[in-house]
Amino acid sequence: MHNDPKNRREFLKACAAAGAAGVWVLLIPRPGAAQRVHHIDPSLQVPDWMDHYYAYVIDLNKCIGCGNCVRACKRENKVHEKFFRTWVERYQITDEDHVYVESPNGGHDGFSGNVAHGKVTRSFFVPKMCNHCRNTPCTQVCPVHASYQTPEGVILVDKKRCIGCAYCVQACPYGSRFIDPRTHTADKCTWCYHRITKGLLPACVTVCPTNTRRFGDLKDEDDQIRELIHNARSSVLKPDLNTEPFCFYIGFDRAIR
Amino acid sequence: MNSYQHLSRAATLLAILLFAGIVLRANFVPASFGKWGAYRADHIDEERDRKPLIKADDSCLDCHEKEWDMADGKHANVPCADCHFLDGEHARPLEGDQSLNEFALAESRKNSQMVFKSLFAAMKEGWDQDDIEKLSLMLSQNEWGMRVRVYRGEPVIRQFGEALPARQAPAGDVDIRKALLSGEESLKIEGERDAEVARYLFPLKVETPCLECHTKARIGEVNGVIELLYPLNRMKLKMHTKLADMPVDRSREACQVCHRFLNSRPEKHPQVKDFDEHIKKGWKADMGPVDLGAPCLRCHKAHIPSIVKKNVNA
Repeated sequence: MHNDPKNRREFLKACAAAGAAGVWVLLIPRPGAAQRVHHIDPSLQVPDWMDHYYAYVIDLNKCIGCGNCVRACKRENKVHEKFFRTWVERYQITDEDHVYVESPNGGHDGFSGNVAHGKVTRSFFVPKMCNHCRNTPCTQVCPVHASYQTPEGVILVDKKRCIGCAYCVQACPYGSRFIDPRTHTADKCTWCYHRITKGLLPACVTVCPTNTRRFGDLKDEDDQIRELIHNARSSVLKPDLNTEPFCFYIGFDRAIR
Repeated sequence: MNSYQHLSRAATLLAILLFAGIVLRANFVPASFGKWGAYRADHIDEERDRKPLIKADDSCLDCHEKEWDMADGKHANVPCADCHFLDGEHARPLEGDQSLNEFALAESRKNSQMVFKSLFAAMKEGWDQDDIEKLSLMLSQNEWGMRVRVYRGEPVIRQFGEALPARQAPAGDVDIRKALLSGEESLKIEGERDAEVARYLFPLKVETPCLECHTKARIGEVNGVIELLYPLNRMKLKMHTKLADMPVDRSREACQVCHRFLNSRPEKHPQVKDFDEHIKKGWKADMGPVDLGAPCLRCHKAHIPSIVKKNVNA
């Protein structure tokens, strides 16, 4: 056996590095069986979430930009006054095909005046929020697993684990996340998870005066939302990103981005 | 032996690191992490347990039926919460049977005014204290078991003297004293369950026509108090009779007066979450073809008193 001290030192160094790596792997929490939702251990007391997969539909033909949804969301979720979990944008498109987009105070106080220069040929409102994607860029980049997807398809943020690194804020292609200055953690729309799990509708849907916002369960065969999504030529924001959003838009315009 | 020393050192180092890893993991990774997935399972419960603040619109109907009907025209599709924002404080569950209390209050006001008009007419005819007492006894003989008492206030005592001891308000009766001083009506439900008695106090404030005889009284003073006492069960019966008289298409709303959960709390009462399904399940073969617009009373007859049953069957 060759007994070269230099080689032995190298060997011990490699052992130490491997050991440290092992500790690091050990520290990373392993996902439980339920993450692969089709293989849940039947002995676990699983909530009724396997019976639901939620979706949200926004009918752009109906939105009047009143801002009720923004106000309701703020009230229901105690959102920071300078940030929004949901907001409304107004699109104005001129005859020269210039697109003007505005969202004064997130649409909280409604809209007034005309920001477009030139003759406006099309004008409409676009409510926006977290799209609760199936392929979520935001949860994938979270280094501490504070951001995650429930089996019902809702993306939540565990504020007790969030370290406020804002990776998810940068990763979200829809700009629906922000760092709450009060808690220094990420915040976003939860589709009012505390309401929908009690059989209620999200606050924004509840107060919408024109039924622009609809919410439903795709696993419920009688739910109108299934028909809306499949028969009403719905679209999603930025489909090219392959994030598979579960927030669908009816009456989509090519100018929307 | 020396040839294996480097291996034992490496093994020791690995064991130390493994131990350190286990200790760190036990201390820094939440216990519920990984139960459902790569996240803290407790957070799901924390999120679910949050209390909703904004109630569904139809929950306003529970208490504000009158305002609900008024919301028409340009307000037809405007949710109440837009202007009258519901917060946790407002949406607090009603205490006791508020619907019954409101009904009892309205009935009591109506009856008190009728008693007062009777008294006023008698006094105009020059009836004395004994005649008024007889009139009170007569008014107390009614099918609802309502008893009527009239107590003198300060202006009347000042002019006509104190009433006979048997007709005076019980000493130490705080409610009557308060009604005489403040001139505010009050309704209290007293007694044991199923034998409760409603006590309504109606202060008689001095107005211009009173001054014709009550020359020493001043406008706004309290001339006396009419006390109405009646068993609450009779009041409930009366309320149910009224509800049964309501048109069929409003029967569900009528039931909501007491059964507020019908629309607003489906999560607590899943059996009525879907009315159509509920009706289909409960429909008996001998009841003919299923009628999804059937009023609640079509099946829930046993719930209501016999007098209502007659109305329904008729």
